[in-house]
Amino acid sequence: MTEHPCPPLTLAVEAGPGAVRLRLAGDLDYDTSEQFVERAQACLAADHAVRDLFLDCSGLRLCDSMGVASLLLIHRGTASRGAVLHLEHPPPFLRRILDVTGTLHLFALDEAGREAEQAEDGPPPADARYRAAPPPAPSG
Amino acid sequence: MARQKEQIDSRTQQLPQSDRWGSAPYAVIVVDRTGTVVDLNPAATALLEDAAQGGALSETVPPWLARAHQETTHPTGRPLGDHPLPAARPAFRGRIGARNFEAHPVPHQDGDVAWWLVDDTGRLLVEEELASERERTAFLAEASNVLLASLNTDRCMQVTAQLASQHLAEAAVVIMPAAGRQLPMAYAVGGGAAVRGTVTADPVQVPGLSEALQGFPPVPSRWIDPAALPDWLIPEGFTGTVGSAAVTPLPGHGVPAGVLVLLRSTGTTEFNESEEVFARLFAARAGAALSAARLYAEQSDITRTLMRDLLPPRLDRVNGVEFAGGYQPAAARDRVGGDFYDVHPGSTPDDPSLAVLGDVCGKGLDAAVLTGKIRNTLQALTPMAGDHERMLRLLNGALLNSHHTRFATLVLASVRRKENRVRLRLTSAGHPAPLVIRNDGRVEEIETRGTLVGALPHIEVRTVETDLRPGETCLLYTDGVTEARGGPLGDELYGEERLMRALGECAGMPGTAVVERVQMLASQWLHDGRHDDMALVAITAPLTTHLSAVDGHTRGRYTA
Repeated sequence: MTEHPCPPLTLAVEAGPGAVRLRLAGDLDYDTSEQFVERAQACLAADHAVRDLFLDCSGLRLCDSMGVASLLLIHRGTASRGAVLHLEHPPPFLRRILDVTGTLHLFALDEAGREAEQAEDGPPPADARYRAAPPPAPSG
Repeated sequence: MARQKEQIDSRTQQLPQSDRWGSAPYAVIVVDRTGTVVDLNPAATALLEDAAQGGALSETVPPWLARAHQETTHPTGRPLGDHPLPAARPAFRGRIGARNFEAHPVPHQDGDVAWWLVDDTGRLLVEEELASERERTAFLAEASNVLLASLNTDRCMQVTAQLASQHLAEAAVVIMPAAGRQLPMAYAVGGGAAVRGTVTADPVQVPGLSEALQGFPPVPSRWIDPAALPDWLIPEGFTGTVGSAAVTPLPGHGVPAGVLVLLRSTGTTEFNESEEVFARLFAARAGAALSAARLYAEQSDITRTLMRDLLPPRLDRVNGVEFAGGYQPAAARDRVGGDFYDVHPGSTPDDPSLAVLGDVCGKGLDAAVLTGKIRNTLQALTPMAGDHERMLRLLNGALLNSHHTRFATLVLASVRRKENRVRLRLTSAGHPAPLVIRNDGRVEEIETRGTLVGALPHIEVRTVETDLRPGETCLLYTDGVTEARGGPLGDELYGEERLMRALGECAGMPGTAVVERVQMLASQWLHDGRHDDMALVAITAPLTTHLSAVDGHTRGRYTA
């Protein structure tokens, strides 16, 4: 999609009590989505006490339809065990593709996402549910 | 070597004649200048049965050796007189009985010549073998080059038959595994151009053929009775009767690629073991080339079949509504991409037609298969096109898969002409909203939204209705258009705003022109020509303008 050769997606894991945070940096697309899914599933399998999976998307540069499919697959994994999948700092393009595809409501968004959403045109889908967000705080 | 023999000669000069050569390791025959045998050792007696002291050389030895003696003693046609012969002379060669000899003349002081006969049959054989080995290696290299130059199965069969008939036998037949009851074959005789044909025959008729076609090791050619070969195996142009035959499998990747049958006539030698081994070396190369060609042919057949069914159709006017479609796949090698569109005409002009445009996640064969499934399912569901939501729920259920979340986004448009207007019912399932170009240049985004299909157990969609006045167009598009990356900075998305602005300039244009304009703008925007699939469908309410007559005499008419 980009004109330069895509550097691979880099994934960093921080595991805490009952929660895991995955930091994504790079492109989430046809070539990298499988790697992302495997990593996230491994995190969930490693600790059955995990109730929250945070995906820090601040370093994400691109997300195509295969990237969305991988997010949906991970959501299927978290939902089946009653865990919540959080998207942190979703860039506008990610929010947009999730909005258009009608899947944004599946993810718990942090305040940065809510902030970005308010900045964009168009109302959110009627059925979208968001976490109660604290007052917007400037971030990044 | 000649000098060494001279030394022997001078050492033995003093011995009595009969003992002189007795211990020499070679046959020696001493002849005087008149051509009479003066002396010979036991080795020479054993070699030349008729030889005896006092006999004439010409009656004792083969003509080539008698001539050699004549040339040595009378180099200019007359006797040399008392002049000594030159010490070193080139050796002569010829056959004595079944073996090859080098004859080295060693002249004596008295004018006699001692002929040393050295058997070089073994060396000649080795030289011949080396030469033929080189020839075979060169042939195999050439064969590989020629065979691998083509991925066409017919051509590979013909080249194999032709090369084999030139280098391995008088005639060669290549037989492929049966397609039904037909055996595809290629014949060649004497290195001539090969002929392709098929024969309806049972491979069991040829000894070893059905085994070879199943990939079993070859039957030794001596087991094959040439008289038992059926007529269909003997190529036209093969003169004489078959004296020997060899049946060699052409090994492929796992399954045999075919069989090579080599034929020789009765006049020539039969196949020996080394020739059969060599034929197998050739067959290995030919088999590899043939199976590569066959795999390629199968692959391209599959691709062609898929493409024929999956390429978007050409669109035209349906029940009084103009439809125009445009599709640009991401790259030529993925002719079948993830984008698709279809128009299913209503059964009567009053029934709505259903236009579908969608984008399947992923690429390549997986995406193509999913695309096919969606198009087939939607076609089957057209009777319930009156309820888009229900249709999409059924489609979603049909696509759900526990192993993956590959999904599709799509737009459904039910289209019906009502007087001079076109009534649209539009539903997006996770797809970019349709855009409507109004006659005044406004571009409206239709507020339909919904969930993608194929990944989630439940979907929500919202259907929106709108009307097109004559000349107005509704454009369905995939995100390959808005996500074309390029522009003046090289890395900017074309984006929805640019698309809407561009469409604003298309007011009143026919649908085909709108599609072409958008395709052109997106292509120009692209920085390096690489893009995702782009699909577009324009639905246009035809203008009912009064057309002036072409020649000025006939009446004008209204378009439908």
